[in-house]
Amino acid sequence: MGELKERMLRRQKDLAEGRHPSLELHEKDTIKWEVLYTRLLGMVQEGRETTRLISSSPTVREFGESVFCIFTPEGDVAAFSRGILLHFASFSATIKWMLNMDYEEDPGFKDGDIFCNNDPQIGGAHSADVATIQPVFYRGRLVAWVGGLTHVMEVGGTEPGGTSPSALSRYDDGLMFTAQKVGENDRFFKDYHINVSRNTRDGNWWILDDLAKLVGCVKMKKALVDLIEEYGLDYYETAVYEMIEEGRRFAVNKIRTVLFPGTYRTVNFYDVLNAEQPLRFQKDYCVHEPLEMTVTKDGRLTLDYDGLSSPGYHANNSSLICATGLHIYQLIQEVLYDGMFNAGVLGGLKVNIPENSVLNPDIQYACSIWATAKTAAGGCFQRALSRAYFAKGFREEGLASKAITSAVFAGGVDENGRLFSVVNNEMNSSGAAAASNKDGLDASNSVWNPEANLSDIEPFEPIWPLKWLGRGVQTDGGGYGKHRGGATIASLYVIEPPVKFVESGCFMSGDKVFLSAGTMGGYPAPARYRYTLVDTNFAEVAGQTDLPLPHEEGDPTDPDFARLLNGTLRRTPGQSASVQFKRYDLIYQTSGGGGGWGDPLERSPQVVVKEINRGLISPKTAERVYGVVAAKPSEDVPFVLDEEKTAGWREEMKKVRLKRAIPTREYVARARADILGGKFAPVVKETYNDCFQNSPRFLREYREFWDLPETFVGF
Amino acid sequence: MATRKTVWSGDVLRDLSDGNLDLQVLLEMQRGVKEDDRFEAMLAVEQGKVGWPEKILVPIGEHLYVVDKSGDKIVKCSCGHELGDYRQSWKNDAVVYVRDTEEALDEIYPGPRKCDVTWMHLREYYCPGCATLLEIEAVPPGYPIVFDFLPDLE
Repeated sequence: MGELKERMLRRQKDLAEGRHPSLELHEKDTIKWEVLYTRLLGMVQEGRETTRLISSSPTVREFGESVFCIFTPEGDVAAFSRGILLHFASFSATIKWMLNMDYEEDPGFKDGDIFCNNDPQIGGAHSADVATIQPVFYRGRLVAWVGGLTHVMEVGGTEPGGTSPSALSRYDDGLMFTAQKVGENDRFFKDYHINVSRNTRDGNWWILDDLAKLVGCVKMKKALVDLIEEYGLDYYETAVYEMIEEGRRFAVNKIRTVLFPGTYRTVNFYDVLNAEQPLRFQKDYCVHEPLEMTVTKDGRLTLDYDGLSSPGYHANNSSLICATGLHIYQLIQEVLYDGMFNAGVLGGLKVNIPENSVLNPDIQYACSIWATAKTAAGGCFQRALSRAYFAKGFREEGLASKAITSAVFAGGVDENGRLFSVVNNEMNSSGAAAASNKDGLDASNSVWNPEANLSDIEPFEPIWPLKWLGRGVQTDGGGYGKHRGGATIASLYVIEPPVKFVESGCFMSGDKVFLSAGTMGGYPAPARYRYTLVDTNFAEVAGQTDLPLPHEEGDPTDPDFARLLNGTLRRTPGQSASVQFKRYDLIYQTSGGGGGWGDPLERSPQVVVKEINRGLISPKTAERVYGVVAAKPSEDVPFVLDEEKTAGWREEMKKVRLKRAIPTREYVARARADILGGKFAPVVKETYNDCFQNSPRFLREYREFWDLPETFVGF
Repeated sequence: MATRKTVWSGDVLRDLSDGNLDLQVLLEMQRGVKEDDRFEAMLAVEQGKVGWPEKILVPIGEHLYVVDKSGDKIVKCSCGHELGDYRQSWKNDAVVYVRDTEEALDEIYPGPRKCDVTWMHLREYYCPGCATLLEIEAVPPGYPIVFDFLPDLE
């Protein structure tokens, strides 16, 4: 067994058995220790910024889809940059995987080696997450690892853009390198980049990102060696483990301080609508993600996903590495944001994700659109955390369910005969979830990358044929509540110029189900969908100055683009496989809104009217959901609140609530009859049956709740 | 982590409890170190808000508390309505309106904005005493009622 592998296994055993290092160096000279930590953070941040500034990809440069880190020789995170926090766990997993697979012996580790991984089963979330990893040597000894990762806009696969909603197995996910040595002496192998170039639609995105990441890594390596020279290797190595230990102690103490002990339960569902897509396996899925979160008085946090759905032949599975990363980035953002930014954050956390589930599939399953499984589970975790904060009195923290995000991609052959492939990450600007004391921000939020940017449209317009007719915030686009969820971004594109071929699709789920749940009386954000308008008279209308062009959706039941233009209108799911478009076709795309918080009838009527006048809430929703009566005194002036009518209408709405509601016990008795009669849609029955098979506990609790006989094993 | 006492005034905590805290103060609070006695400070604020005598043990949601009623631990709404033993879901003693038709969903999620009622419906739980909307479940038909939170009060 190699020395590093032996060290890794010893350390894992020590931590599992509760043997933690002391903080001797910290206690001896705190300032020196803290300066070292800050300099490590500075290094990873500099690596990221260097890469971002020289990357050719707007996804990396504009949106900020990158992250850099420094690791211990055993693969534990010593310092982590801002960016895609999701990969906190995934980089570590790749290094540990290499050690477990005895890479020390073959291919061996040498100064200047470069390893690439985009296999989501051992690192990253999907094949578009391409990591560059290098060992760091000091006086001939491997003393650390550095790594950089970017989201690459084209990796092959069934569809352009690096992510493939029509992927039905791992083998559709695109070109993969499984922790492969791809360079020596700080140079990539020529044949590696030839491979990338010939097996992706536009290899430049991958190759240029590789070069940008290598610059960041080499810079970090040099800075780290200089730092070790300055501090001495013994001090550096001891201090790094102390930093992780300090992070662990902080995590346990913070959880104990801010979360109320108890057992919390939440559930989310997501849909995969493949039955009517142009795919070789046409089947719909309704995926069940239940969470039981336990907080103990001594600061331990356990997450149990017993009862999960099985993985499926669709793109929306998430690897275990990715699911683990999900919990870590949420914990960092929502609880441990003021702690140490290293492997210590794992200190108080235990996660149980059953094998052969959507969050832990075996190798055959596709993970291209991992984020659906992650977002649904993340919404469960977020609401459970929020209630734990709420109970403990820390109401400045906590959120309803985060929003699902989306993306539009396109590829084909441009007007000059060049292959192109682009994913536009503007749809990651979903609405943030509402909180107990504030609304969620509109078009602002990408939960796995807290330093993301919506990005300008100008860098995208020259590289793909989707041109913006409008980009804005969707009216009523967040979950209703006393504090409303942030509304989703919405864009309207027209295909222009006349390229030789263009295909386009989008992801993710949340069409037949609400995916971003509200909490404590707040409503979920609306369902997601895409409109396309094809065979249009756009050229004719655009050529006439007296005819208005559409720029937004308007009334969702009678959208502007179908009203102002001729053409064939189609509503397709929020996740739609790629199909061919032509010049002057239109695509209307949204992301997701955040869940709402609290009873909407408690929302300030003045704020509601202000938002009607800003186009964020429709007058109909103001009246039907918020109980607010407002009117325009005349056509050209804003809406004005009618306080008296509002007060009366809200009282009336409360009477209606009690009139049409029934006692819950009565509802349960009625619903039981439906269960005994099996009166559910086939896809819902299939979901229950799958989860009953996966989890004896779920089946037992189902029987107990509905008072079903022991003979009941499914529908 | 050193022990920290609450630095926030009763008025600030009251605004926080009401959900109306000034945004700048809220941000300051988010950036600050969390206090060890916040729970007790907020309990005092909550007790001062309600018009009934039972001692609040822990808030479990907007308007909802576990209280000590003559030695029994029960759930109570801020209006005073009682919702049963805390070891079972308070939803059992609430009233519920289920949006399980297209018409009911269209009322608030027009056209393409609604879910498919054969896949999912909304259960809106109200307090029978004050008609406050306390929780919404978005689940497929036939899903058991979710027991959101069992606090560890032992």
